[in-house]
Parts: sequence; structure tokens; C-alpha cells
Amino acid sequence: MSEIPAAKFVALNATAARRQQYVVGNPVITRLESGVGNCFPGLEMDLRNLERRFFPFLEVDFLQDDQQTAQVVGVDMAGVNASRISSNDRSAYATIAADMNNDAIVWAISQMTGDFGIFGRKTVKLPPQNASVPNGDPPDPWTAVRLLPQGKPVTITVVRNSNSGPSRQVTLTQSRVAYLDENGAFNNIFQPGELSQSLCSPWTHDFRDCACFYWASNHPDIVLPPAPESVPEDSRWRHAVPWERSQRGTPDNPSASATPASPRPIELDYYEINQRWQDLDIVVEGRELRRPYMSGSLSAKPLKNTNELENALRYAAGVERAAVQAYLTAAYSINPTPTNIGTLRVDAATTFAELMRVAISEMRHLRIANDILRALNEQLHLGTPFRPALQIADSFPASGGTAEPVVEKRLTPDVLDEFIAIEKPSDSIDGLYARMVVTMENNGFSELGQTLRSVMADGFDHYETFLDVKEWLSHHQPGDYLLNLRQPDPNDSGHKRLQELFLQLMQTLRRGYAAGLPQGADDIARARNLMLGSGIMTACEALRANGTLVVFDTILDDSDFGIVTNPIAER
Amino acid sequence: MVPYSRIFGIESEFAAALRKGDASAIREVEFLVDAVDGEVLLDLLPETTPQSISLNVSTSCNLGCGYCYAGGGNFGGKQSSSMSWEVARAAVDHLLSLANPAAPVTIGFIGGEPFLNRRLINRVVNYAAASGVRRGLMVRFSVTTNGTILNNEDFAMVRAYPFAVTVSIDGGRAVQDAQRPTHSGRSSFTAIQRAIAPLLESPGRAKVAARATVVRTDLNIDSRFNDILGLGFHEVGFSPVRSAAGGSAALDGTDWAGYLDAMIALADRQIAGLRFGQPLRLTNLAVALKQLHRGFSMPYPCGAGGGYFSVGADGTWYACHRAIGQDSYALGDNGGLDKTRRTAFLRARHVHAQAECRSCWARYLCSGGCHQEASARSDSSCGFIRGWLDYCLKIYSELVQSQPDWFDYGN
Repeated sequence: MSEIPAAKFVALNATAARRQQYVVGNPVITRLESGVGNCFPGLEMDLRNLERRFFPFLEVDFLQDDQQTAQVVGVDMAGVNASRISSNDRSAYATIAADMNNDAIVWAISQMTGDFGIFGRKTVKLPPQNASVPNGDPPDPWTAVRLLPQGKPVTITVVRNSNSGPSRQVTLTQSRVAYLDENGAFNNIFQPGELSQSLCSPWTHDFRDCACFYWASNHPDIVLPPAPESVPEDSRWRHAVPWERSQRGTPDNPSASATPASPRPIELDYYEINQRWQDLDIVVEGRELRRPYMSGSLSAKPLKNTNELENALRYAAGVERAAVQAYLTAAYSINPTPTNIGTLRVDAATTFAELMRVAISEMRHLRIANDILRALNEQLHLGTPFRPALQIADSFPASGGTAEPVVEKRLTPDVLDEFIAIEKPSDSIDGLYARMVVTMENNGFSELGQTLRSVMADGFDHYETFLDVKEWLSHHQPGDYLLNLRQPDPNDSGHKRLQELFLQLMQTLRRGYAAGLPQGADDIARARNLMLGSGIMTACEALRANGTLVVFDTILDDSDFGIVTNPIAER
Repeated sequence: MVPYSRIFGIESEFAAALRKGDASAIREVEFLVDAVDGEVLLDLLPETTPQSISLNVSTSCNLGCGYCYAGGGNFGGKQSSSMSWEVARAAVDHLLSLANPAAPVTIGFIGGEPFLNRRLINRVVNYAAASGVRRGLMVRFSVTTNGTILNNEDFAMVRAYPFAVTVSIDGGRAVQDAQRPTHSGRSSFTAIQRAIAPLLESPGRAKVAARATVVRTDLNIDSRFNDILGLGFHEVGFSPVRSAAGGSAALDGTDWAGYLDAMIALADRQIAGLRFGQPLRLTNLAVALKQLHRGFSMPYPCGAGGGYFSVGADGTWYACHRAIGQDSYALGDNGGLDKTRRTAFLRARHVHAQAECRSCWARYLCSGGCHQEASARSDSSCGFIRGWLDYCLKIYSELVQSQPDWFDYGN
């Protein structure tokens, strides 16, 4: 078969259109009447390309560099010579044309004089200097050209900049080129393929440029860079990077993250993305992945038996409860109305909100632990009534094997570091959960094991959240965001009120968890109401307003709510 | 139809290069010629099933037109007796058994004046329609009539079924009465005028068209056109007399240039009206444009011997209705088609077998013209065809760009 013809054929009838694939031209999708007319960068044609030939015999690119350069990239000398323009103009064109093959030389439009629509008839320097001034300039060169009326005169000054040789300039005046010819078809000056050269087609361009979140809803926008197997605490691995960045980073060095000021320079360029789209990484759980994804088969040492499993679960529930209390105390130590300096107010408010979110998440974990225990109870001890796990752990498991006593404190930097240590994955709580999951899988309770995995996933989110909080608060002095709170007096009425509510809550939860669903639904709902509204939340707010630390006393006269110790002898 | 006549617009410099015979330009064009997937090569003989027959139900006619190819219906004595019901039914059965159920089946009535045997037409229509329903076929009907003796019963029939009614009428009173005289001497124009009015007013399912024959003595088609439309017809098609059998009426030599001019002038006015939303009423033009749009390209000028046959009064199946009684066109009968004769016929009538056609650019659009008129082919008559097609191509190219909608809305 012969090669694709260079001549321009326009398929007119249906059978010619069938041959269309070999017809060179601008595709029928660029016909204006078929247009969706999207300028960014266009679903069927890139309207921005219409302005590239606004000036007779010149081809201009509107660059997106800092200078918004309007660069002359082509001169149609054949057209110039065949036309009736003056010999002065002819030599002006020739001057520009002479440098077109020299990449080191740039001819750019430095100013334009013409009718700029609502901006009036004037001379506009490029880049526009007075864009933000009323009655000022069009905001950018492309827009300025877009405003020029067809067929009306426009004067341009084109300046040559080069590192070698003198700077030169020429001035030309011509009528602005019309977009369409007398038949309503695109002016012949638009070359085959030109109108769709920077388009959604190829799909990679749209993919790269989509600003309406069509693609973003289908592909990642910003992600965490690929990290070593165990993610270092180093903040570089926790900073999101643009998924379409050009520098992909190395195994021990994530690439530079985007800044609000300049995401653009680090993005894959148009021609790049066509070839390098395969470099884009698969993203799993928010992080790019370059090694096979193992849906975490945990390599933890299983517990001895199901008995140990149940005890471990009870202890884990106790840890969750301890965490809830610790996080709530910390949350209510944050000044709700700090001075309005810089980002302090926002950082304080966000910290409070995040601590509450994590605390509520731990409450859910407590519930999950109980649900699992009840399910195990039915399997392993049919007939024995289920005793809910509502005790509090005597200590947090922490990395290094040393246990931390549970003490409710204000959110000082030290305390925050403790929180980080508690939630740090593959150590502490996580390690315990991993062993429980493996044990359940080995004993035929893999579905329950999956439920526990979701708890582990949450734990990782908490870990990252606390690291973020640390960063936000690092910009401020603790004195600015923390309240000075005193330890509660046992006779303080606010404190007593909190403890009453707390006991009621525990009792209601016990009833609810023991009954399970659907029988326990009412009690669960009641427990929820005890926390919200005029319940525990209000009590905490009152204590805070009163300058008192929120503390949940250990309930001593009910063993169901007392202390549980870590049953695991060694880790 | 083998759909691959491809129409492209080209730039003027390229056109100039082609005209000069520039080798690289020609290479570019050759590239466009390759068949696309699914297109059938024109060399092949078609293996079509019969989808359409015309039944010669009448051997007589109440008019005496000089150019009649059928000699008034008895084809020079070769059709002396009328078709019987048995023969007609057998023909219908044969057709319905052979036809491809995926496409419509057409049963036509021809003669002489077919409505002189309206009883047979009625019987066949009822039978065929019912048969068609039973067999799950889409059955349609057609009739070519002089339009002078139609009555209410006829109207009822053509309105009730999908009927294509072609009325042969040559022009206004003067032209019509001169070219298509009644035996009695009364005005055939008046007869049509009275007879056709009710049908034109409410056609029902019938599609009514006028077909005018043009003789060399009067090439003024513009007035014929207006006069026929004036009767209430919605469209008119023109057919110039060609065959030598047409005698003195046949166009000859310089007549063709005059005829071409007249057709183009009329077509131009029709196209001008299109821009104002007026429909095309010149059948020749409308059909040409539609066919060009679909990329019409056929090695045969019609379905004769392929999808179409004409059944004589004795049940012989001829390749076409103009060849009733001609042995070389007899390809079978109600009992079956003779494959050997059919193949020989199709091979001989393929446009590649016509020596004069080999170098003509229009050979797949004209396809050699009516078989019965082949012997009357001349430079000037072919010149007319090429001239007309050239005009239609120009018009098509403009229309498909300026008013592409016209091709979409069922036109």
C-alpha cells in the first residue's frame, strides 16, 4: 500500500469518508458547528490554536513561561513574496525569517497596537503591564490577540533577542487574519492537523491538562511518593507530590514536592507525557507503589491459642479505651480562641478537630473489638453469655517493649510525641493487632481478621495525622495554643458531673454490647446520646471553660470497667 | 449496489497537477482507490436473489404513443393472450420462495395498460400481501400506468398497500395529447386530469410519481415540468427516447446537447429553490444526488436478470419488461431460473464487457445504460450522460458542504 498522501483531500460523500483515515487535513471534529467549544484544552479542537496565525504570514506560539512570550516560530515567505505588500514590509518579514532555523535566537512580539475590544484601542506591551488596573490591559498576550477584530489593522513590533549578536526589531502593520474563508471553512492557512495538535487527543494531553476534575476523579492528583518497605518517619515521605511530576524520585529520595507557587515546572510536559505516561506509578492506599503489592500478609508471630487471642483482644479494647480518654483530654486542653496571629487560630482549630476525629475513631475500634469478641464467644463458648470488654488498659504498648503508663495530660509536645509513638505502625498497638490477625487467620476466623485489619489501617492514618499535627504546631509556642489547666479537684461539681455521665455511658455500653444487635440497638443509641448534646461533650466544654483538665477517673467499684493488663508475656 | 464511488474535494493546485498528468499527483490519487474492508469488488458477478418482478398483466392499451417499446402491450405479437390468474400466482409464489427475507420484495404490474386487467391486479395484490405476511416478507407493489382510466376501486387498492404508482404523462395538454393520443381522439390530458386528482389529493400509502418521455421534436422540458406539477404531481422524472425502436422520436446527434442544457437549466432552478427550503421535484436530480452521496457504484445499469425479472403472459421470466418475447432475455419461468442462461446474460451485460464503456469515467454510474438501448449508444448520447453526471457531481459537492442536512432527512 502506498504511503499516506501529502495532498489535502476533503472527503465529501459517505464512501469517501470511509477512506477518511488516510485523508490529511484537520479532522471533521474541528468543524465549528460540531463543537463543544472547550478552550481547556478542547475536547475536539484546541481553540487556542486559532490565534497562532492572527498576523498575516506569521506563525506565533503563546508560551506559558514567566514572560508569557509570544514567539514567532514561522514565516511564510512564499506567501509574503506572492503578496502585494510593500518592499519594506517584505524585507521586515525576511529579517525574521532568516533566523527561524536558529534555536538560539528568539523573535518575540514586544508590543501590539490595535482594537482590543473592551480594553479599547491602544498599544499593549507584551507581557501586559497593566492587567490588573481598571481600563488597563488584556490579562495576557493570547487574550489580547483574541480580542482583535478580524480584518482590522494591527501593528506589531517584533524583537529579536539572542545571546550572540545585537538585538533587533521590526514593526509590521497588517489586517488581522480572518478565521474562516468565504465558504465558512477554516482559513486555508491552518495546516492539516494544526487545530487539533494540542488536544485531548492524544488522550494523554487531556489527561495532563484537565482542569475540570473529570480526570482527577479518575486518576490520582497528588500522592505520597513510593517509599521503602517500612516507611521512615522522615517527613519527606509524608509530603504529597504531584502524580504527574517529571522527576520521579529514587528509592531513597522522593522527588521534590509541589509548592503552590510553582507546580508547573515539575509536571511532565506535553510531549513528555505522550512517551512517559508508562512512568506514572500505580497508587495503592494513597501511596505510589513500585513493587508488587502484597495485600499485607502479616509476618507476625501468632498467639498460642484462642484463649490467648481473646485475652489479647480484651487488652486491645482496653488500649483503645485508654487512647480515647487520653486524646479527649488532650483535645480539651487546646485553647479554642487563641490570638489571631498568623496561622495559629487555624492550626489550633484543626488540631482540636483532628484529635476529636481520632478519638471517635478509637471509640469505633472499641466497638469493633467487642463485636469480634462476641462473635468468637459464640463460636468458641456457645451458651456462655458474652462479657463486654470495657476495661481500661494499664499501659500503652510502645516501641522498644517498655510500657507507658496511661496518664491524661495536656497536649504538650512531649505528649504529642507519645501519641505518635502509640500509633506508629508495626510497633506497639499495631504489632499486637498483627499477631491477633495472624492468629485468627490460622484458626479459621479470617473474616474477623479482616475486620481487625481495618483497625490497623486506621492506626496508620492516626499516626500520620499526629505527625501532621506536630508540624502545624511546630510553628507556634505551646503557650499560644495550650490552656493552663489545673488537675481536677475530686469535689469539683463539673468534674463530678463528668464522672456520673461517664459511668452511665459505660453501663449503657455494657448493656448494648452484651445484647448485641438488634437487641442492643437502643442502648447503643442511648450511649451515643450520652456523649453528645448536653452530655459528656458539654461537660468537657464546661471544665475547659473553668480552667480544669478533663480527666476520666478510673471506675473502681465495677470490675467490668476496671483495669486490664497486657496478657502477652513477650512480644 | 456496490457502495464505493468516492468523492473528494481537492485544492486547485493539486487539481492542476492532476490535469497535467503529474506522476506524483496521480500516485496520491491511486492511494484513495484501494478498497476498504467490506467493499465488494466490481469485477465479481453478483449472486443476487430475485427480489422484484413485474407482471405483464395486460397486452393492450387505450393510448397509441408512437415511441412505445411494447407496441401497445402485445410486443409485436409476442404477447397475444392475457396473463391468467394461475400464471400470476405461480410467479408470485416463485418469487416469494426465492427472495431474501431481509430485504423488501416488490411485485409490479405492467403492460400495455395494466389497469385494463384490474381484476387480476386486485387478486394478485390480495394474494401476495397475505402470502407475504405468512412468510414474514415485506411485500410492496408498483404499477406503471397511463393514468387515464383509474377509478375509485383502483385508488382504494393503491392507498391500502405500499404502492409505487408511476403515471406516464409527457407534459401539458398540447404535449400530452400530441405525444400520447387516445384511440378515440379524446384528450388524454383531460382524462388524466380528471382521473388522477383524487389520488394526488390523498395518496394514502401510495407514492405517486410522474414520468415524462421526451422526444426530439420538443426538448423544452421546463414547460412540461411546470405543467405536470400543475396537475398536482409532487415530482417528475424525465426519460429521453433513445432506442432506434422509438423511430423518429429518438434523440440523435445534436439533440443531446440541447437536452443537456435544458436539464441543467431546470436543475439549476431546482437547486436554487433548495436554499429556500423547497423540496426537489425533479426525480432525475434527486436520485442522482442521493446515489452520489451513498457512493453508488454499479457494474449494471439496473437489476435486470439479477434482482429483477419481468414475467410474460405465458409465465416466462425475462430479464426485463422491455425484452418480453426476446429469446436472449428469457432466463427461466415460473418453475425456476436457468442458471446457465442467467450467468451468460449477466456476464455479457456487465459493464466491463462493454467495449465502448471501458475508457469512460462514468462507467460505474451509468453502467452502460439500458440494455435495450445499447445499440443506440453514440458519442453524443454518452456525452449527454457524462455531461449530466458531471453537473450532478458539481452540485453534489457544493450541496453536501452548504446544505448537508438535505441528505439526512429522509430525502
